Amino acid sequence: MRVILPHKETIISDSTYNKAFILLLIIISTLIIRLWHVQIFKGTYYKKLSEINNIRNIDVEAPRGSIFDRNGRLILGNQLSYDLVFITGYAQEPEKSIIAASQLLGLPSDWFLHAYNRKKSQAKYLPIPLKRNLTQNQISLIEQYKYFLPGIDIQSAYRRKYQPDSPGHLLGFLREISQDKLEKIRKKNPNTDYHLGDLIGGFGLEGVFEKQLRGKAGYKYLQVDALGRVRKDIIGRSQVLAEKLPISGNNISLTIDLNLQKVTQQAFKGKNGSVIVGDPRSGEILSLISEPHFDPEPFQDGISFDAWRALIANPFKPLLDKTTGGMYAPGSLYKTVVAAAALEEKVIDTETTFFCDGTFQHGSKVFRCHHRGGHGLVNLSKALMYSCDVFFYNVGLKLGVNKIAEYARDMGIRDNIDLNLNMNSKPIIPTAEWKKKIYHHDWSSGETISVAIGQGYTTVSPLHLFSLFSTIANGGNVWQPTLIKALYDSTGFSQKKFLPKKLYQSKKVSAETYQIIRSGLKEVVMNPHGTGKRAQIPGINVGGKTGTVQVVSLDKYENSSSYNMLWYEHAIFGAMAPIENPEIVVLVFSEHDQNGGGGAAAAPVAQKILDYYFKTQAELQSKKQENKKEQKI
Amino acid sequence: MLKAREKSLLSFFPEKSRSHEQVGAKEMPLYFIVLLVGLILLSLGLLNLYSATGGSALFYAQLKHAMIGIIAMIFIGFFISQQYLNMAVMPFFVLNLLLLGLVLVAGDSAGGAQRWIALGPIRMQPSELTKICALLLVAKYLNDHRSSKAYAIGDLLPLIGGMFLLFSLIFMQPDLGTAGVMFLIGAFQMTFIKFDKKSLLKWGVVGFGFAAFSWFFLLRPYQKMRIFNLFNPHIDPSGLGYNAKQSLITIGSGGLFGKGYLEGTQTHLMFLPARQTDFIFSVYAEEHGFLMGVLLIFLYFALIYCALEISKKAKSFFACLTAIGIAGYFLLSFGINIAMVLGLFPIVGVPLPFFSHGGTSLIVSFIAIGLLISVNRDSRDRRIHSVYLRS
Repeated sequence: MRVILPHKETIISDSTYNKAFILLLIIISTLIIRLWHVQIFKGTYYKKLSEINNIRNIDVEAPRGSIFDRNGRLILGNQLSYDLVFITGYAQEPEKSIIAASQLLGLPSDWFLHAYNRKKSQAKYLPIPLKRNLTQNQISLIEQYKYFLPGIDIQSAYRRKYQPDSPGHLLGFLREISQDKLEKIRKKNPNTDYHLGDLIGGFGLEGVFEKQLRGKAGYKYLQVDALGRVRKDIIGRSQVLAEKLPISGNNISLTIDLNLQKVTQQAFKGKNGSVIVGDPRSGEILSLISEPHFDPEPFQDGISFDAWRALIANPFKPLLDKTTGGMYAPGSLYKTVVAAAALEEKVIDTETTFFCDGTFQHGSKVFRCHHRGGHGLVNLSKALMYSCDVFFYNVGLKLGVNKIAEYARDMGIRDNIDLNLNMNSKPIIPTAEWKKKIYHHDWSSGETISVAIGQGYTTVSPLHLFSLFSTIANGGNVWQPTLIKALYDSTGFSQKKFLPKKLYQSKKVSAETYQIIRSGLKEVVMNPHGTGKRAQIPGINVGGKTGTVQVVSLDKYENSSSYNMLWYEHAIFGAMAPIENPEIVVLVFSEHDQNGGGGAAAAPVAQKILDYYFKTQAELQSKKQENKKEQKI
Repeated sequence: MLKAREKSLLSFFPEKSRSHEQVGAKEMPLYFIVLLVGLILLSLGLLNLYSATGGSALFYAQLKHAMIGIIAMIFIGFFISQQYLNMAVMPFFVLNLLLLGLVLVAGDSAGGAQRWIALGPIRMQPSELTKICALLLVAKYLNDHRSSKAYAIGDLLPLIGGMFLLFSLIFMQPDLGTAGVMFLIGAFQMTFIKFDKKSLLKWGVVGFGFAAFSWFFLLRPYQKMRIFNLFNPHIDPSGLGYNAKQSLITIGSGGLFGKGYLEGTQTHLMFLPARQTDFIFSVYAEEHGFLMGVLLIFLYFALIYCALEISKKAKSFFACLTAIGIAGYFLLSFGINIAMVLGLFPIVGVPLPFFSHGGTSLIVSFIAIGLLISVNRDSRDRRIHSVYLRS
């Protein structure tokens, strides 16, 4: 049925519009009458309310979560500090007050003015921190002259309390949030509770777990006067009308053993590089250091320009986390990979021998063994023990670079091995295709010879070597190295547990081969002629492998009259103990060590760590037995 | 003649302006007034926002959004005719549904509700856009189903279904304020057409049943709390009632002439919560006082009045209903927001057009102005009496 559609005037009549206009007028007049009622009729009442008696919502900062070690010992906690702040709204002449305060404290006024100028555009009554962590003396000075310093105030705040020598790379630092960062956060979430001047984690655990560590600020309703000053009663207490307590951040429980960490630091003192100690049965890291370390303390007060420049200019790069971010040639530690590959590919067996006279001719080029005189007739076990290069030149050539790469990946040198802490470096394991892709050249067999002893293109981080040694130690399980045991909320309830994660099972290398490698590693340390004999500890069989990485080619080194610090070789030592059933793996990587190679410089460090570890284990055992006896009695 | 004039509440407006046949070239076009009022409101709003935010980055973001809004307004107002707009409604509706769905799946949450969505560099709040989408949908549906008889609710079921879809997608975010305003704009448009009384009664009962159901099963406790707070703002001094009370103190302390620009103590001492969004009018009233407050209310009144006048002169039913919808959009946003800060309405989170901080809301307000301009220009232009208007 076709309907003739009417024109709009027949649907909407003028009277409908009139009704709408009436409605509009009613609404408008209601609003105006109400506005009159509030502003004029009750205006004086509300004015009085706003002047004499006001409730103000003040944010209460939440303490950051603490960090504990595996035994519940505190690694990083908080402490209350008193900060000098400036509130623009109270001062007539802001700069005068600020300069007066700086003169009173005997500090350069530029610092304070700089802090003020950076933040003066924020809301008038938000405090601007001028100097954090005042001493008792400074507090009393300021309080004494407060009357002459309009706008200057002292406020308490939480700050991090670092123990001496705290591991900066692991814990990270706190610093004031930058304008850019704040704007980025605000763009993502306009209702964010970050304000200018708040501290934010910038590195290490503080950075990675910023969300969890930062608590939720609470608030207080306080009585304040017309100028926004908190009204206090006769004994100086502010009157809290209502409050919501802040919720402190989550606590983190680490797999780190604080005492072992301290021993590691002691043992590695004076060297540069990194040490990783962990449990090969689960991938848990027991101690982790990167030297030279930096002190996280000054960051939360605003690090001075000079201190920052000193950090940046240091040739040993204190700000680089060398455990995961330092990339080096693996040196002789890589020989374990070549050995395993050769055994599995049946290139050699345990009895195959090669003759080492100190040199190895390949084409026109002569490769040398590190022992110029040669090692004579060597089999696999002896080759590992002496770290004979010529043996591995031969084996490597027979295997080819691609096979070595396959086995390296299988044994735990992989892209996805990482701590998710500061940097996730990916290892470079050269293959023929890789070289073609990067350098557009074919692989030459001479390069395989370098790769076979862990030099050449191969680049890994100490964490990758740790992963390799853990895999050897546990007979083929590749675990994800982990630092975190659990997150707890402030009341102690577990929020999230981080269970050890097994990435995969080594498929190419059999348990027997791992056993053969381990017995070879045992000889390295326990044999009186082994290169790693300085890692021996009483009562426990230790296995290990030394490594020495040339930084500058030998010839250059010999001819040069002046030594550069950065020309010294890297000393590496990887250890596992007890070798029958390893429960600890130690990886020492000392950069540019002046005391010599892996055996001389790095093995003693591992020795100290292992010695401490097994002593405390023995103590624990005896205590347990005593407890059992007592229970029986 | 005189009697008829007295009956009409509009008697003080000249007769000739109501009759589109007499529109001459000399007379100032209505869209010009709308444009002027919109720009005055924007200037006042920006000045006020500067004070409320203390000149922070939020203010500059708003400035940027105002530019985008003005460009959108000019584009829609001067380059899009009603004909094209009519065709664009359905695609716009589908796009809006997609955006709202995306918000629920992948939106950013803030303050317990998932309202924002990031599309590349653009971060928007699709629920604001839905207000325009809904009013266009109503206009298009009623234009396509014109009838001189009274409508029964049954005739409108497809439309109600579409509106319900939009409503529930916003409600799930959850954003009761926006969903409610969207629904009320639609209802406002519908009041202009005739309804069959019996059917209205029948569906009223159903609607009441649904309301009762949603009260007990759908509303979140904080939403119920807000409705309760309407009746007694002193019930909870540290909770939501605090906002309402501080808002009244802020407005009330402004007095006749206000405390002066950038001098509002309540605002700058941060007594007032949500200064830059819901309670932006309180900042204005505190600093500028009663007289300027009345002026602001009159500016909104002028805008809504012009929108209704434009609707009256519109040539097509679609254009007419669009203009009514926009009048409803401004009336409800402004009316609810001001009533809210004056303690006449629960705190439901409805932004004040041109004043509250919020990019999408500001741009949508300009789109609304653009639509008004487009409607008015079409009805003035004698060349576009195209066939579609009467088909």
